[in-house]
Amino acid sequence: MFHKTQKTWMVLLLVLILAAVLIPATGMAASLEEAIAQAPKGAEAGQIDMQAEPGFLGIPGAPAPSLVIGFLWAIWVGWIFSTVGAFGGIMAGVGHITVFGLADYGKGFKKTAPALNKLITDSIRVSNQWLVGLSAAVSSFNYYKMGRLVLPLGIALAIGSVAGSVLVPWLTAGKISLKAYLGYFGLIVFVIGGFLFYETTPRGQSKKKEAKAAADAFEKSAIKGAEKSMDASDMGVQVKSWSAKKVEFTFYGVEFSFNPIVPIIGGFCIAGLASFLGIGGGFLFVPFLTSIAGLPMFLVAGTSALTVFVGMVISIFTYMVVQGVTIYWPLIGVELIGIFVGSMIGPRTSKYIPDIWLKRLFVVLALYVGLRYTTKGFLGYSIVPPF
Amino acid sequence: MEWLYQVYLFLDGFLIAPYRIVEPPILGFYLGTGLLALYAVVLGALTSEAAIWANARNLEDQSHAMVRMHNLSFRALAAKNKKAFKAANHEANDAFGKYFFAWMANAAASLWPLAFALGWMQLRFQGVHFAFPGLPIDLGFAFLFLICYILASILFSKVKKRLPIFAKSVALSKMARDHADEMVTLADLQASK
Repeated sequence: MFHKTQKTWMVLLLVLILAAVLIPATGMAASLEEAIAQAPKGAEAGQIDMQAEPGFLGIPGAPAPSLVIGFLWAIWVGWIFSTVGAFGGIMAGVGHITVFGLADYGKGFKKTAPALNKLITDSIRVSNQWLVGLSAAVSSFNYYKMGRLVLPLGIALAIGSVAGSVLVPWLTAGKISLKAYLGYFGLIVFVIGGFLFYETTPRGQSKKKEAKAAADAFEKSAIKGAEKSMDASDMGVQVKSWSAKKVEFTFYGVEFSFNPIVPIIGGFCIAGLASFLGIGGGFLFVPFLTSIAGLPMFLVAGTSALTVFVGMVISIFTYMVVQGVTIYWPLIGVELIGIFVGSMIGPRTSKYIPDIWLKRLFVVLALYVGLRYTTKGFLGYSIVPPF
Repeated sequence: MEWLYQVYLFLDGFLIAPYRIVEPPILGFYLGTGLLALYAVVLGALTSEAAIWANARNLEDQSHAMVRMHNLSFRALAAKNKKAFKAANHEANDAFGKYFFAWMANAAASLWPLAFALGWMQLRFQGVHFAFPGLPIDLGFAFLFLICYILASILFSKVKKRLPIFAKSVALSKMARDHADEMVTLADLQASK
């Protein structure tokens, strides 16, 4: 009975995506060839040695990120993904920025060849987005199969998300220096570290225990008798009242409400941030919609995965097709293999390492990475070693 | 990275041949890219099959846990017990998270050839833009490859069911579908009334 409505929402979503990707681009960033041509030639720092072996993105003399290191780093990322989730995306970013030696190389061009500096920044952003986008695609598909994808809420989020995903690459591609990117990346690492830290506090832990106890208690109670007491008038989602400020609805007789502007603004900010930093917004959407917008988790998890997927598709499209950003594919290939290996190891080791100790480990890591990137980005030097 | 370049050089003759079979060149491009996408899909499916052999039990356990908590959350909803619904729903999401990452491992196993195929195309077609019917802008090789990859995946999923080597993943997909059937839906709650 909902087929027609679902089709309408699906068509609306497709139109949104199409409209977003076909927005004509102005102010195109320089292509890789142009940026290399504009850079000063020579063997000094900040110059391109045309005689040297091609490295990252085929730039002569650039560091060639080792595929073996990329593979090993991705095992670590995959292990984190399969043990604590969201922090894996940050670690993928750390790999692209620091471990492969790209940040220091890119920074060398800040004054001599700003176009090349910014192109390297954009390439790092899009590399992260490919990894996040692929994972969001898989999760959206799984949620869809499970019937946990709520298209109307997805549309409200997608309106904001599409705007953020288009505007941010459009406004910032070719304009953000690697230094500023590092600083902002550092700040978001603090936010994620904060989330993880909360979960390790007595308050966060007791909430988790309470939830588990409540679920267990309900499971033991007389479920069938309770089902029979349902009133036909309570079935499904029923909107009780709505205005520009508040939508009140009941979901099987249980009351929920949200401000319709909130998902749109939230979608815009989160997708904009995710697009800017090249990370997924999933870890922000779920707490945002459950805590701030007050929506039930059932309506949130699948929908946020869909929103991240839509946002990433548009953002990657805008960077790569409209702005012509290049990425280094073999690195993504070995990273996928590494993530696969890491994700296989994760569930097997998590039996031996308590969840809370893993989170504490990642809080410490988040503090270190956050301090390093924020200070390097905004002050020009790191206050934690290596300086 | 020299070794990777050598691997690409070794395969180049084989991969580029279909691009030169037919005229006009744009048709040859789509034929060659379509075949490349098919190779990537098949290679990915084989790796994924190996991963499923290694992880079948884990996946089954996680699937059971997820279905149980999902159904509990819906029953709590039916009982108008908001507190129990939120709690069970939270647990269901945790269970889903674990199940999801187990499948992520499989997805990564099946997607890796895609990136290496794009790496080869980057060596061949970097900077070239292609017309796509109905679109006002020309597209780069990556997006055209992705379109071919999606089509090849759909095509291969039809054939895969008949190939004995993929029996394990076909059985596991069936189990996932059966579990999806076992999941209480809003319609079921309505029907139970």
